[in-house]
Amino acid sequence: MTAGDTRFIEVYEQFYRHVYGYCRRRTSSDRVDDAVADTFLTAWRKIDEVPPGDECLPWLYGVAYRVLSHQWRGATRRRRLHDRLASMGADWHTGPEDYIVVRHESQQVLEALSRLKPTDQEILRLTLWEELAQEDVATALGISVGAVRQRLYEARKNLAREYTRLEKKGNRTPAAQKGGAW
Amino acid sequence: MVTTEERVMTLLAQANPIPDLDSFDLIEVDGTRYLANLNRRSSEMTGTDSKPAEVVTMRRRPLVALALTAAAVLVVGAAAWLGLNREDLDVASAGVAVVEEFARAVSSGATDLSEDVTDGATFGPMAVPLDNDLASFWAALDTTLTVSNCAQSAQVVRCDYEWTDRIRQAQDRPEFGVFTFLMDGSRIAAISGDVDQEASGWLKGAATGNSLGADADPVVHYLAWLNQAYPGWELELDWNAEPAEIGGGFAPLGHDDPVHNARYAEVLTRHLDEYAQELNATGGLPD
Repeated sequence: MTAGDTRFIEVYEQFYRHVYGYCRRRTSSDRVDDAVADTFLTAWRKIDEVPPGDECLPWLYGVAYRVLSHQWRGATRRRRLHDRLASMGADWHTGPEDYIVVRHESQQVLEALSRLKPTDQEILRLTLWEELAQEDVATALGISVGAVRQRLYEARKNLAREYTRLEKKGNRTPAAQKGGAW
Repeated sequence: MVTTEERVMTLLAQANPIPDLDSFDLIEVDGTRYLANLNRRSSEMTGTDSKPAEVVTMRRRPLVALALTAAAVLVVGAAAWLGLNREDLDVASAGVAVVEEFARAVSSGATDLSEDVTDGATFGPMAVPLDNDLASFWAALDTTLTVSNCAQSAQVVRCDYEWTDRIRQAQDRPEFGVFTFLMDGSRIAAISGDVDQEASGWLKGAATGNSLGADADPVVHYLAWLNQAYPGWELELDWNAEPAEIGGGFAPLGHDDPVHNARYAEVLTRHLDEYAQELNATGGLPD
């Protein structure tokens, strides 16, 4: 077994769960396994480039982001945000009334999120869902820490603005993903 | 007092679809077994350990379409950059002929490119004549390419990272991979690319001035448009070249890989066949 093999096994076993969670948060359940497999396939092929220590996981997230970007591209025309919402588990809230209220708010905030620039969306998700520090977000996205800081600042404001706008409109329709203009 | 911004951030945190990974019953994580599986599949695929079969089997998208679209993004992007009148880029039935020619070449087995096109010096045998007229475009594009930081030799312009970066910045799409696009004054080679389906939608709009519907095929429209954009040129396509590797870079698989060649041909043929059916159903390309 080569040093690269050993390293890959370490990376795989240490971070499989994280990568799985990352992908599961961003795509439908039937696509998760492919995305995770693609991510680790890339890691295997580029094992010499996988950074050591704390940078490894953000690096894997960056790969997974690109993998999922491929999925999103192909699916943009067919899949909408409500697909992702529909795949959300309901077991993290208690009573049905709570669930309905929270689900509506979740839909609305996710719809607001979908109206932001893709990178800003990902910065927010990495920050809130993966709980990454700004330095790690920068590693994952391949941008500077300063850019992350600035964009996070803007993204928070923009998200609040979009959410407020949706609240005022009473918009309950599922989000239409951005796209088509490019 | 909680501000709207704070409240929305809290809501977004709560909207995490998987707040607790431990709630998922994941498969047993066995890196040794997974690695062995990768190596085994790789050996089955190529006889070596350099390329696992999953690379091919997981590529379910029409890769050639991506490569073509990548080149199209460059071309149309240049057009947009230059403010060219998109209404001039009329898509006509000639585009269908180009595609048919392309499909015939594919079905005839012209998938063995003996030359490595990535060095910018040679082209493969696959060539489609372009015979419509939009002569002014090349001069404008040539100028655009020249002023960019693309590496340029006497005959061939190779354009990859610079344009990718420019498009990334202009469109705020950092996930874009790298594409490569070669020209030598009479031929175009769409080498590799990694652009998204949304780009194809944009491309179609740019190329036709119409909204063609979300499911229209990008390849046909690109070819049709390119057919008019480069009169007298030949379009050469290399479906041996992989889209940019995840994380950037450019990784041709090797032109002597028959499995991979067959895979590309299969995907492309099916893709074109599906589009032909769509054309039949809808009455053909829009004017």
